Amino acid sequence: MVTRRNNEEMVSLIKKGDEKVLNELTKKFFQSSRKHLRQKGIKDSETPATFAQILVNLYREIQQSNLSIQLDIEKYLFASINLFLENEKQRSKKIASQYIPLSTESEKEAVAACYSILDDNTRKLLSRRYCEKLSFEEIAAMFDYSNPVIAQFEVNKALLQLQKVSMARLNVSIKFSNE
Amino acid sequence: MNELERSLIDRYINNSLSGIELKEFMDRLESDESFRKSVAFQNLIVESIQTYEDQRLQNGILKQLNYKKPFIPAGLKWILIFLSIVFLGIILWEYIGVGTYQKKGNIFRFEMFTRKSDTNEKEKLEIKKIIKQDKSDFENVTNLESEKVLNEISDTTLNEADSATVKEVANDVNVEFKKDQLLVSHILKVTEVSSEQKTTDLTLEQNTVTKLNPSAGLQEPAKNNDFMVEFWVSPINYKGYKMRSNKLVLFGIEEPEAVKLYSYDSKLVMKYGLDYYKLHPSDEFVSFTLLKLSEIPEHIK
Repeated sequence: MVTRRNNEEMVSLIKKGDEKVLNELTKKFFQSSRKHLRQKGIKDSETPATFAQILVNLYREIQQSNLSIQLDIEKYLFASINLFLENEKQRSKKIASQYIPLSTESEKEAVAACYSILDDNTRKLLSRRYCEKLSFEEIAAMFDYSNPVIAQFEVNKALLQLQKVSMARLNVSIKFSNE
Repeated sequence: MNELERSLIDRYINNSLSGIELKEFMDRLESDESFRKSVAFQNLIVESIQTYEDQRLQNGILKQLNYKKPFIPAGLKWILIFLSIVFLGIILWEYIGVGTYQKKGNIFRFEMFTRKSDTNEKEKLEIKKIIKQDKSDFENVTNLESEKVLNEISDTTLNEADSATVKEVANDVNVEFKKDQLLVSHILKVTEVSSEQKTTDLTLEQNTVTKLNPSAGLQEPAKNNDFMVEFWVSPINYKGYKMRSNKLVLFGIEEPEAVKLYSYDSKLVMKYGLDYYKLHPSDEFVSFTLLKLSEIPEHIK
């Protein structure tokens, strides 16, 4: 019962975007996961990075999907590890179109660098929207905006700010109608 | 790109477009180059945000784990642990087990770490020196029994060195403790040599005896002139002899065939090669006494 309650609490906290849960999960599952990864043939020196990657994926999945609050994190984590190792799991299935050119790693790094120079509030806003996939209603509630429209406006404003910085960095020109 | 387009792209990226909206979006994406560019750019922005945030969380986890690549790999570490345990076990066995260095009282000498061959070689050399010295001493001493001397040598050697090492040395090809060896043993006839005068005296003596006691008719028992001669070889090249009654033990005679015995004036003379030696009855071993040319009877020559 204690374990289940802890699980429930942790899932709940993950859904709320509490990053401290990651520390608890790391403490609780790192050694067993490391052993499992070693058994699966991952080098000992690579296990921390692989575990961190899998744990973040799990964290995002719990945040973005409508998983039950009674989810057994341990089982889910080991299933994720197996999926990760078998390369059956794809990190991003969100956008798949033959018409959209794939972005390169250097471009991603450049935009990530631009994102890192934004202020904390802007980054949080964009993270909630695009990493945790929160709706504008949820963002409004979380950031104390009066309504979802304001939340959408704030998100668009933050996104526009990042786009401008990134365009300057990447030397890309896209015309924005509201300029 | 206006607000509506941005919202549309945003929804497309979030997989929330469906039906006609999605079809119209895809048609426009196919036909409109600038629109496609806008979608790609927004997709890049969103992906970058996700990458950055994921990386930040991963770094946080790694920081918490504080993982450092170990100096010694795990496999090697286990091998080293195993070897250490085995090594400690051997040491414990050597010092605590039965028949160990502790029993010998050599617990602090660390004999197990010294090369056995080295110590043996040193001991062998020492023993060889002792034996050499003893040999030279022995050659100077003439009135010693070879067996006794040998025993003494072995005793002194045993006192000075470990008995086990002595055994090893004895087994060694270069240094061996040999015993006296009997080469041959046979009966040697003594050739009586006497002067004519002597012969006459002897006849007179016999005549007198016959005349004094004619009734007895007893004859003087014939002297047994045969000697049981044993030829021995000593490992220390001892040369000498021992003679009691009719038994003669000779040491240092290499050619038994060249030995001849002569009896002259109740004295026994041994001819060996061109040399003549005087032999006296003795229970102890004595060295050969060479006769001078002048002392040798003419008849023997």
